[in-house]
Amino acid sequence: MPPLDMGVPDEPLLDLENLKVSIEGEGPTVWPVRGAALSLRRGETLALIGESGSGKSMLGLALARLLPEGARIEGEARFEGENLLAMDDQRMSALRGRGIAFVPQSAGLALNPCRRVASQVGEVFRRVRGMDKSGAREEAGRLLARLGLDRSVQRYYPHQLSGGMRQRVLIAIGLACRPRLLIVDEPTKGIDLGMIGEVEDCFRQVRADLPDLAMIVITHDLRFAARIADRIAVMYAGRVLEEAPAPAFFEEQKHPYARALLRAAPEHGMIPIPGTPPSMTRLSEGCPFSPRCPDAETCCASEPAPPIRIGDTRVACRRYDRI
Amino acid sequence: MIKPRLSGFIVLSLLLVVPVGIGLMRDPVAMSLADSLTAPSMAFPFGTDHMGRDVLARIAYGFFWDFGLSVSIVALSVVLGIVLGMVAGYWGGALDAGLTVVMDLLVALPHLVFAIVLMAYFEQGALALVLALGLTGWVKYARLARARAAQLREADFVLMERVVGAGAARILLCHLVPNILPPMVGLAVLHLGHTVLHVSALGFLGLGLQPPTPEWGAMILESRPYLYKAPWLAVVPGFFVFLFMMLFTLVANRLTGREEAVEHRGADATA
Amino acid sequence: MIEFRDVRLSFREGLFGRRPVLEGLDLTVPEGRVIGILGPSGSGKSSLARILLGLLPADSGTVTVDGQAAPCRAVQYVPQHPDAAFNPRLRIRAAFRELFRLHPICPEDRRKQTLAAVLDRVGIDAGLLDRYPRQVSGGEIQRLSLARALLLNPRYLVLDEATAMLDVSIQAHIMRLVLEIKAERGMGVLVITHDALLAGAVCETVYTLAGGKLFQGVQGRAG
Repeated sequence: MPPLDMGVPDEPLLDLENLKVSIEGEGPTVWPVRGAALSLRRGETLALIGESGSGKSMLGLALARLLPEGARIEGEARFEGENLLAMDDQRMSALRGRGIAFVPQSAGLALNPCRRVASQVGEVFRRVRGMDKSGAREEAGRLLARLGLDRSVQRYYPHQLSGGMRQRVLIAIGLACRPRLLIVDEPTKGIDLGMIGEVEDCFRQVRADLPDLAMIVITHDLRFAARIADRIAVMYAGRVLEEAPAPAFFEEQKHPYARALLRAAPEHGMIPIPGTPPSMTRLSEGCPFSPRCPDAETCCASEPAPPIRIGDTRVACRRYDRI
Repeated sequence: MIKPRLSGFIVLSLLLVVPVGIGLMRDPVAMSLADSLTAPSMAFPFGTDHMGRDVLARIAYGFFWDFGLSVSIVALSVVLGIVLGMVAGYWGGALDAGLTVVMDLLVALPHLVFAIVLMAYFEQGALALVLALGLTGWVKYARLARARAAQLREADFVLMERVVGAGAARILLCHLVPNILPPMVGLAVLHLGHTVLHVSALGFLGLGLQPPTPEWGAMILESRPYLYKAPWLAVVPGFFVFLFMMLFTLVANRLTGREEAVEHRGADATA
Repeated sequence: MIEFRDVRLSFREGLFGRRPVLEGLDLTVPEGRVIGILGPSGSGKSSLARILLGLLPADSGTVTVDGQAAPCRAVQYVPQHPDAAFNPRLRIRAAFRELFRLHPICPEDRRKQTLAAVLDRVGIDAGLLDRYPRQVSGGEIQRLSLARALLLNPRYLVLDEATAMLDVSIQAHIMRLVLEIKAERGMGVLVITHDALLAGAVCETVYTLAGGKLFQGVQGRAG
């Protein structure tokens, strides 16, 4: 539950409306994000769920303004009331890390393979918080210990750590700057089912220690999301189709895609979703899921489906109440 | 960023191709002592040497010697390097250990000196030159091939080949080589540029191709007694060696850049 | 049936040490049944598959397929990583052409039909064969790997974390496809995975690999 703040209005920390990201390369322009709407309050953890090609990682990168060359962002994005997209490079650099921090996937060269893990975290304390060498080392050690990595492990090199441990180091680096919003990209990718518990514990610890920290956790893992998130947002073909509080979401999904996604899990029937995701290059006005939707009407494919608010939930489906 | 490179490349190519093209239509062996050591002029754009032979024509025919020899040397090095490296990398064990020792030994020796020693053993001539430089230049290809083969032998598709019953020869030739060769192309072209330097260096030392063969290095050797009277006899071949090397280095850079882009695109995953 | 008897395997560690991976492992995969092997990375479950497929020699013990010593053409497999399942430098068609060349699957004039039939069964459009692996999605690659395995008419199929890199809805497609084909052909299927919920949903019997030995796990509901 987000904390009640006396005197300060409960305004969203992050508010996105109709956000679009396009990437121009050698071929046709690709639209990974096509009108995403999202809102996040202080202290909330939102799980951004989606399959490959849904645009969830691109949305996270867009919020941190870490998109590749040739990418353009359109639409509205407000962070703490400020227009995120209108910020110049200087303001964005100041914001990155201290306002919004991004934790990348732990694969490959996310961590410097030639430096011990504790020293990499310590460097962030030195650079961003201006601490001296010994102060930084202390703080880094303390932070890593709180995330479950004891002193002996802290002296290891990245390749000596398990996937779950590396993920926690990356989260420490993200937290070291004391951001107000932490965006984490696929923290459980490539980690065995048995080890995901470690990552879950880490998230729980972070939420306990930093109740004011808002988090967006980008993941395809629904089970993980159920255990650590306050709110769930489901993305498909570049749009957010449903956004709801986690308990309500897992009890009953309002959007047909969200419902189908849950039923595809092995423990809920392993029912496949017929058809294939739409092309990333051609934009269409109507609901992106309509070709595959069992409840679609003929107008669903051509008429836009803007998000409709029902209490604490937003659904981008014109027929949600008739299903 | 690409435009300047391309125009530079075109200019260099023209500088090389045009004189060679024109020179090929002239006679490289016609001697005329009356015309010896004439400076560059309309009749003889690159002048004449001490025997009255047309330098432009000799440069042109010399190009085919230098280029042909360099290509043969690089081809020999590449084939030898890939075969040895791939076999060592795929099977590992004693084969790999043995190859590593040989490679380290070879790299420790100064390349050109070792080639000279080999030439003394093989006797003179084009074949000796190719063997001497080819048998010493394979190490970098072998290193690359070995590393790639060791990586690839654990790849899913290679394991799959073994499961469906493909023999080692088929795996090496049809599956490993196509994955080992492309990153080497840039390296080979760079090597080609450097090899012309070695070939002409040996020619200058009087090893390799002997005068009167119009190899550029040999031409510079021949020009030594006349350096003050006719400096163009040394400058022109020297310049063409430089031009050749420059051109192939640029091409190599271009190829390497493109190969890296392909590798990156292949490994990219969209979220 | 596939039978592992007292199979032992250890890897060399450091200069003189040995790390035991499989210690006296016994396993039976009956024809027509779906068996699951569960375990975290590094537990040796991939090594188990490799021994069966002839990619790794066991230190001791026997592995037989319908009475004959493994490896055997009757056992085929679908590997884990879609980006490494096919030679990245060759078109996908090359892998299938090679299979026809290596094995007497059918007379030459019937090759096209046989291939088309298998591709149709796994839900792949034949036009994909002319593409390079990187131009094809993960789910499609796994279907192609399945097609390649099925072309040799195996009696047993090994899925080595075959859906670990796929989205949950694609995984649902692929696993259902495998179960259908298994029922049609009466194949035995060995599912190696770290996902206990997947194993429970798909396999008739699940074993857990721990400490180099197999333990009888949850009896799952199949289909």
